[in-house]
Amino acid sequence: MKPLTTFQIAKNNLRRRPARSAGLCMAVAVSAFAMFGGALLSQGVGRGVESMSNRLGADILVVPHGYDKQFQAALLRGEPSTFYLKGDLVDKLRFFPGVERAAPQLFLATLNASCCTMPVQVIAYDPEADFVVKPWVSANAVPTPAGDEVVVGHMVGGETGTEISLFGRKFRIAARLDRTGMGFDTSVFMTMGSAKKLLRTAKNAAVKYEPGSVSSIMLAVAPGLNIKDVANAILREYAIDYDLEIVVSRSMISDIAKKLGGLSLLSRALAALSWICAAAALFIFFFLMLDERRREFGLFRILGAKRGKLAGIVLYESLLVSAAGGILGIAAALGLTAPFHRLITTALELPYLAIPAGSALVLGAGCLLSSVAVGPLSCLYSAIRIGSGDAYLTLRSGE
Amino acid sequence: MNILELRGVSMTYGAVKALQNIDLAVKQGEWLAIMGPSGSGKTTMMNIVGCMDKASDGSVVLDGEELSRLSPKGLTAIRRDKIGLIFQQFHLVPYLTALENVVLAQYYHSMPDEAEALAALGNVGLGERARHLPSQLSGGEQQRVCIARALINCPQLILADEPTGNLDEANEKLVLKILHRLHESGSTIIVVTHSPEVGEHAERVIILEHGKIARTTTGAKLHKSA
Ligand SMILES: Nc1ncnc2c1ncn2[C@@H]1O[C@H](COP(=O)(O)OP(=O)(O)OP(=O)(O)O)[C@@H](O)[C@H]1O
Ligand SMILES: [Mg+2]
Repeated sequence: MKPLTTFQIAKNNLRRRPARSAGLCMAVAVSAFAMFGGALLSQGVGRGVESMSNRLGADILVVPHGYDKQFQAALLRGEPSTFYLKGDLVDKLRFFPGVERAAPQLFLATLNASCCTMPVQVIAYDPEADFVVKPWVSANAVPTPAGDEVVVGHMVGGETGTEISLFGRKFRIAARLDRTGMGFDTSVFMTMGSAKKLLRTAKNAAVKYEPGSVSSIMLAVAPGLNIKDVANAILREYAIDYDLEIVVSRSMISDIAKKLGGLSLLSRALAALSWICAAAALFIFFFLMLDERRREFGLFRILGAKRGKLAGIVLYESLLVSAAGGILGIAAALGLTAPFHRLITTALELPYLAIPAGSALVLGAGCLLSSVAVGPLSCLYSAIRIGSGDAYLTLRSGE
Repeated sequence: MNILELRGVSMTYGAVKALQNIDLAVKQGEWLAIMGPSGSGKTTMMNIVGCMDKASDGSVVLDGEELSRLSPKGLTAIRRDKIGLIFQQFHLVPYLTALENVVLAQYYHSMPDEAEALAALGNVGLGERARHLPSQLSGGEQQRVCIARALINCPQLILADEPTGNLDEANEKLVLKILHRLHESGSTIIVVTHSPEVGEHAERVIILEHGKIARTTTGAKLHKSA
């Protein structure tokens, strides 16, 4: 037998009423789960959005009409799609008033790549003109891939130096990029030249290709000019001839940021609500138990317990319940957000970049602390009532 | 020497006069039984003597201490140090084992001593059941745990309010045997009972009626008259 202490008494009470204790634990666990899971998710999305806006150096994105959603999906989450614009638009836009730089990309969706069980997005860029993909690729200290080489996103399978098969052709993986939290993580990068050659010789005609076409053109607007004005001017000039659509990246990012705001507000509201629910559940429970336990506490008093010791029993019980619930909820949040964040962020159309382990640890500790606090806080009133207790067992009570 | 003296003790609950002007002295080592019809004030008296309630009037001196002068803290201390209580309802803590229930009394009294608690359970014939919860014990066994707990701190005065009220004959005999042993070792015992079979074991028997001592007799006489 472990030496009997106030703590042991509390523990025994919980241990020998497992169903009741588990119920109380669950209330706290749900709250800890909501708190930690919500925070992990919204902070991850926050980092994803930040990473994306850092990386998207272009002011205006030009895509074929009706493909803005696919383009965003490819950019955000790497959902593969293929679409084309007439290629001569690149030069026209390059010399359009107010446009400083224009860089074309080709977005090709592979249906069967050797690397992956899922189709991957191939993004081809023009190393001469590019100012979006290249700075980032070279920030990874990765040289421009040669003709038979690709650079792969963080989550694309295959070791560096091995080969990957795309549209029936083999490419050497020259390098792997850092995690970005956006669609780039599941994309494969090659030069425009390689892509065009690939398309001309592709045995597998899974993709139709009109020679000279591009998928999107990213534009940088000259400093000091109003981006919207330039975008409108381009639309007036080319919208009909080229059947194009314009995405202003700043408003795209601010749209995403708005969603993020909604998400983190929602997750905070849920965390607060479930915390309050857990506190209320524990408060009601301990309050109702007061009456039921009157005789038990009276007996402790008869045996010589000081009032503080009785309050101690209740405080320990609540502390144990909330600590166990907190740990459970946080473990569940870790176990569930880690594997399912992709599912969730895809459903929400948001980029996601997991926060570093250190920050997660701090966050987890904070959530644990506030979960553990639920117990003692919510039974404080009951503990005080017991501590100042009039309740007293006499030989008559219970007769 | 008197361990307990009641002088002019009365207890009223609103209009109910539960005890009226009781005078009683109990000698060290005496075995006293309190009998009388239901509602005659037996439990009321035990509550007062057991420091669980204060008399409305009169003085109670327990081992030289005048109870009415003590603070609640002082009463708690006296009850803890000098009195062992045995209840009709046993009042065991349901989520503690027999052993833990006994150790509990040590814990709040002084220092837990598991070996001593085990020996106490052995003395009431429950050495084998020490790790069982009250719900796993029979009524008689629970009462014996309660007795072991009441005795663990060697109280000078043992108060038992209908200790055999919920027990069958065999268990009643067991409990009486334990009380006899205590009596022989010099403990003072006050037992409230409805049963003459229990009462006759006492040296002295007082009979309460309407909050007054109606008669005093001895266990032996009770036995003969039965
Ligand atoms: N808290 C109380 N408030 C009002 N009346 C009370 C209270 N406690 C006891 N009484 C009354 O005091 C009288 C004596 O009660 P007590 O419990 O001492 O009787 P008793 O002799 O122990 O009876 P029993 O044999 O049924 O246990 C009864 O009339 C009872 O109703
Ligand atoms: Mg009674």
